[in-house]
Amino acid sequence: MDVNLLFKIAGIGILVAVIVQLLRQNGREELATIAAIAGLILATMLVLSMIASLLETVRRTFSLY
Amino acid sequence: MERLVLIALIGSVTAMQMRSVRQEYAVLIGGATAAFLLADTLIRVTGLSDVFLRACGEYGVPSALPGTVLKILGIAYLTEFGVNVSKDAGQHAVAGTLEIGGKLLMLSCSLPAVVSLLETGAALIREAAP
Repeated sequence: MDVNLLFKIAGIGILVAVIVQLLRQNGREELATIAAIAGLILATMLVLSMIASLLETVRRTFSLY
Repeated sequence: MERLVLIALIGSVTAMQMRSVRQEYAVLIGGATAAFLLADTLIRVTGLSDVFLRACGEYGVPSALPGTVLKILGIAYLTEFGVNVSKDAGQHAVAGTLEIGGKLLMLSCSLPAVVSLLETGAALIREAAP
């Protein structure tokens, strides 16, 4: 639950963009797609961890249980 | 507060930058920034709910009521967050359905209070004019 998480997600995005570009240039389209999907899954898991801590905070603040 | 504004600005600009490179990351960064801001704000105002509950207890408000009000507030904030992130992703249908679900949930949470209000009113009327 950190500001660095935002930069991690941005970093993953830029890395995936570079890798996809490289793979496309070498003609490996299917690897590029797989790399893009893998990066997306990784970033989504990070975002989900942030949202989980948000939900925990909401539950504690409003006594939702 | 300045820290929150800075984080919001940095997150928005980063999301905008990602939109030209890989669009889906813009939504993820926007959603993560919004989640972080909301959680940070709520952590700071956690004490308010305790003050509210204690004040209601002291002044004789039925104990079920302030809990219901806080619950409805929480549902409202969460629904707003989810709707905004969905709209950012361009999914207005998902956002609209989530909004409807949130409204129904808030309605169902407030129903016991409304029913008890009606009962009190009916009892008063029955006493006044039997």
